[in-house]
Amino acid sequence: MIATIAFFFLICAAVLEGIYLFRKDGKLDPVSPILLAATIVLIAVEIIKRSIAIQFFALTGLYESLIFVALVLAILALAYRYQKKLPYFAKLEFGATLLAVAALAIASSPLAPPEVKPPVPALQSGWLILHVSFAFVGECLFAISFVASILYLFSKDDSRKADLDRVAYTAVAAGYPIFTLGALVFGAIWAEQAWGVWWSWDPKETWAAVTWLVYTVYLHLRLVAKKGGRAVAILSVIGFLLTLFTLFGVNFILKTGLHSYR
Amino acid sequence: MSSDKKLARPARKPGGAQGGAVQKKTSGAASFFKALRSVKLAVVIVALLALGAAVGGLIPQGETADAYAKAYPKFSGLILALGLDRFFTSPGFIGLVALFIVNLGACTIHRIRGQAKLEFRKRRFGPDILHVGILILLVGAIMSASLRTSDSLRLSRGDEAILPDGQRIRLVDVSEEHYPNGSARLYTSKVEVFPAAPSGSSGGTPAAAASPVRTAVITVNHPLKLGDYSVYRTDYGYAVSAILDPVQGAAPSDVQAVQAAAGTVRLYGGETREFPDGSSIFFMTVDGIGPDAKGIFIINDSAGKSVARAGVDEEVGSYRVRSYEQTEMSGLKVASDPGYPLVLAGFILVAIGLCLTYFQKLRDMK
Repeated sequence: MIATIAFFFLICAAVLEGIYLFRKDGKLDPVSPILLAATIVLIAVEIIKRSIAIQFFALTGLYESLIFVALVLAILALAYRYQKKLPYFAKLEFGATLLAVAALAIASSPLAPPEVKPPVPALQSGWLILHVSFAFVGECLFAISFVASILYLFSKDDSRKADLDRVAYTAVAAGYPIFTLGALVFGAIWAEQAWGVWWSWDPKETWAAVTWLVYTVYLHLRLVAKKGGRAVAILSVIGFLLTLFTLFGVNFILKTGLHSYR
Repeated sequence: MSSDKKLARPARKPGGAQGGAVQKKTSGAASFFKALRSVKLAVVIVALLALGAAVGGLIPQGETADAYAKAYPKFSGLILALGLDRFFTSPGFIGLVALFIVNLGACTIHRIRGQAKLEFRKRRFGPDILHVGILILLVGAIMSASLRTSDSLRLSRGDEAILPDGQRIRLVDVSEEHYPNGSARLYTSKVEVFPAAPSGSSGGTPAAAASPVRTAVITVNHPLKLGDYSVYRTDYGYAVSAILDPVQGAAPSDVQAVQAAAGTVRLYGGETREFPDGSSIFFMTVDGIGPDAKGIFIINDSAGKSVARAGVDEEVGSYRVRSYEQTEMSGLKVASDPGYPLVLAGFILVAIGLCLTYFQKLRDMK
């Protein structure tokens, strides 16, 4: 019920942000930040409620993962609205809100049953919380970079492009260390404790490594070029598509491996 | 990259064929080293690694030829010919990783030398710590891939096995706890570890006669660390076993008598017991649990191979079935990875390097 209300608030925020994109005066809607803040509080309450019910941090299944992703995206959308260091684009905030809506929409689908299930023995580890939460926060920052890169690719104004490139780069620069720590470092340490092998080329591990390598290329390509460009923006888009494949493709398309949560 | 510009170029030597030749040689080595450490080469290598890993991630690894023929009827020949079925151990992938190590190593040495020349407050060691961390991690990964050992054990209560260092492990108890909804909450395996037999002794002291040096409860995510190796809990299940008593009164010269001399035996499903005379009994399975259960055995003795079905009190070769039992089993994995300490050290440096790079970048932006 709480998540449904959060979903409703988030859709309202996206609709409002979308409507205000058509205003010629560039005025920002005053209500969507309130709706985003309400969504954040509601999802946080839902996660706390579920965590109390299972007596463990509620991040052990697909439903919980998706609402966590929606929470982080909503926080990033709201933080982006009020930050002062980066150029602001209403379309970027709208894109981030839309991705949060998509995460909650999948969470509401039959793909992600919302039943509260206590964690099985394999998931009862502090490393799980570090591994999953860090990886998701990194991936949400990659999502912001993805939206900025899409806007970059459709933009014709050079100054606007430079600003969008800066936002995309900043998001990857922040997301890359967090993703590296979560997906690779903490994941490998946990795998060593749980399975006795820190790396086994399991499909999820392999695709996380592919994603990491693509963002490594992104950062180094930008270092070589000194600034962004079309190729760098395309790489950011590819990186996020790989992130999505790592998150969902491995479980629902490849359907193999040790990370077989649903 | 910024340090590239600060590199002092070797001074040109004026005139002379010999001087010119030396100059050309030095410049060739320098430009080779420059190419080897270049960020552009790193970008190409990392992109190729990503592409290769994606191919290896799409094609299931380590399957049989039949499995590929079934899953990819048109491409199975190509997959096997190109070694894509074992992509991550293929010479192509290993060669690419080796080139990456050389590139990253050369780049790191060059960067550190460049940083050392800078004023202290202008030094940015974050990327270097990160790169050194990745290099150590890769060395650890190579050690892991080549030196890691792993063995699986399946033990019932009271069963023992010998560990890699000669110590014995005995399963004392297994338990399974459930949540109210029926799903598993906790699996535990209580074990005792007994000292290795003194060198020179034949067969060693039976564990039953020795005192345990360690008693531990192994659960998922909490392995038992024993020096260079660890014991992990992998699974839990049930196994059927047949308790066989020797048939009395057999003639001493008879083959059956030799088997009978081994006394009462317990055979788990899928287990073969060999005897000193070369004969053996393989216990396949049992068709149920209860007084009417019948076990299936393959007896291999001087008369050749024969299949026997036997219920309780019926004979199997020179044995009589006393009972069939279903017992709880614990799956344990004994693994040793000499590369892991290096991997862990690499991870720590990667984490420090990433954080340092990020915060130094933030400071520079201010």
